[in-house]
Amino acid sequence: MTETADAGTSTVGADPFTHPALLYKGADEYLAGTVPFVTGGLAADEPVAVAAPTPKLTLLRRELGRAAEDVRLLDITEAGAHPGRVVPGLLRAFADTHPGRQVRIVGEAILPDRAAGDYPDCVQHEALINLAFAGRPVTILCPYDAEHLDQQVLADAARTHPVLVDADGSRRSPDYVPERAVTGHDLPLAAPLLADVLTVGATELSSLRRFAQDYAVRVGLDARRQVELVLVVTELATNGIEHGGGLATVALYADREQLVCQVSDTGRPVPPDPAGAGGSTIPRQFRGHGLLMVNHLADLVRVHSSPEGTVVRARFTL
Amino acid sequence: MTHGDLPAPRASGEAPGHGYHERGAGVSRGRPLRIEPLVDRTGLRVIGEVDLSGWDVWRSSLASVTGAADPVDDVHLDLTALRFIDTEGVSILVRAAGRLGEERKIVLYEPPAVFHWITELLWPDHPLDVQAAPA
Repeated sequence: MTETADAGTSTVGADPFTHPALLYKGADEYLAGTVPFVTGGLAADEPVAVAAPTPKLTLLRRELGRAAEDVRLLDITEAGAHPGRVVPGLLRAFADTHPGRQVRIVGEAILPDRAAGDYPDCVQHEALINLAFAGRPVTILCPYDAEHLDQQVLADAARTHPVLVDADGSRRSPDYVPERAVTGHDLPLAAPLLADVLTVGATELSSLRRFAQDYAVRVGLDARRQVELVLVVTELATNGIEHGGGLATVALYADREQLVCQVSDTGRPVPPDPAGAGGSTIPRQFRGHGLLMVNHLADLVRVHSSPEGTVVRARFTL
Repeated sequence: MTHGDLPAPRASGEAPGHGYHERGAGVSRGRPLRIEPLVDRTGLRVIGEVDLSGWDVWRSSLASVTGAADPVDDVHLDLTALRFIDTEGVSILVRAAGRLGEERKIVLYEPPAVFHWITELLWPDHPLDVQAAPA
């Protein structure tokens, strides 16, 4: 599988960001796909990081030998409670510590044993990788366990990754449409009945922050989480106001386990930007630093777009 | 250079805060941002909150103070009364600092906690000089 090593250097279109999926069966194929990618990066003097669960890191350490000392190894079972933190937190932070340099990352975030309820969020985060890194000289190789993951998961991998790599080599994904994975998994987000709701425009964000602050105090978020909620609510409402018709409706509700912040905009969906990442048609709401920040701070983020507008739901574990 | 009409500076004697809540309640109506020139040096005192309603004022104030200053002066921003800034507000600040060149810098005094979280994630190598309190 010598072509696998090339997955790190081939690019799709003019974007210096490359995001191949490695569909492996068994440890041998996993190593055949990842080791040349890692050692190829080291040989080219590129910073290399691997974000993976513990058993994979053990496997790679053994195979790489002393070369493993030059690789930043990140245990996602410890470091990332969910892929939303892995995506911008670990990967982008690693890439940002090497500005202007070509960087390689192996990131395995979708695992066979992950709870089914979390899966749609995982797909969204995979798709968000494409947005978070567009235009940057970064290659992220995402291994998928093709033996144990559902066919639906592998089909989604083909949608969220422009390049697919397996034992037969590397090829362009014919199904690459990241925004379909972002929106296709969304069941419409039901409007909560028992929520505190506030609709605001551009000059009322300050009131919104007080509203969110008061709610956070009432449900017992600690001081830091209170400020995080205030920032998340501000960023989501700002997106809604800017891109969705000038008003955003924020609903906050909580049960014993979580606080949910749901922000709906009231306008028409934003026309797709034809100059989007990889030439795709990604709504502008998904761009920008605000959503990266939200994705980093909240425990899970889901997005639903429809002709009536866009609904974003961010969850905070209590 | 006063913008908006609802200043809500932190009450004197209040302990220095690091979060939105600790910095007191927000302003409920109108523009929540007020910006004043510093009297003793090149720079601004920023009072209130930077969000969508204040981006334009924030951007033009920074452009004005960085552009009009003596080319050898650093630009000082007293942020002790800034209760909140969003990611775009920080982005505007980072871009303004980037335009100053290597000879000059923007010095921030006591930015709120959200400033640190935002820069840690999005601009870890920002050129801003962050200090604890105005001299």
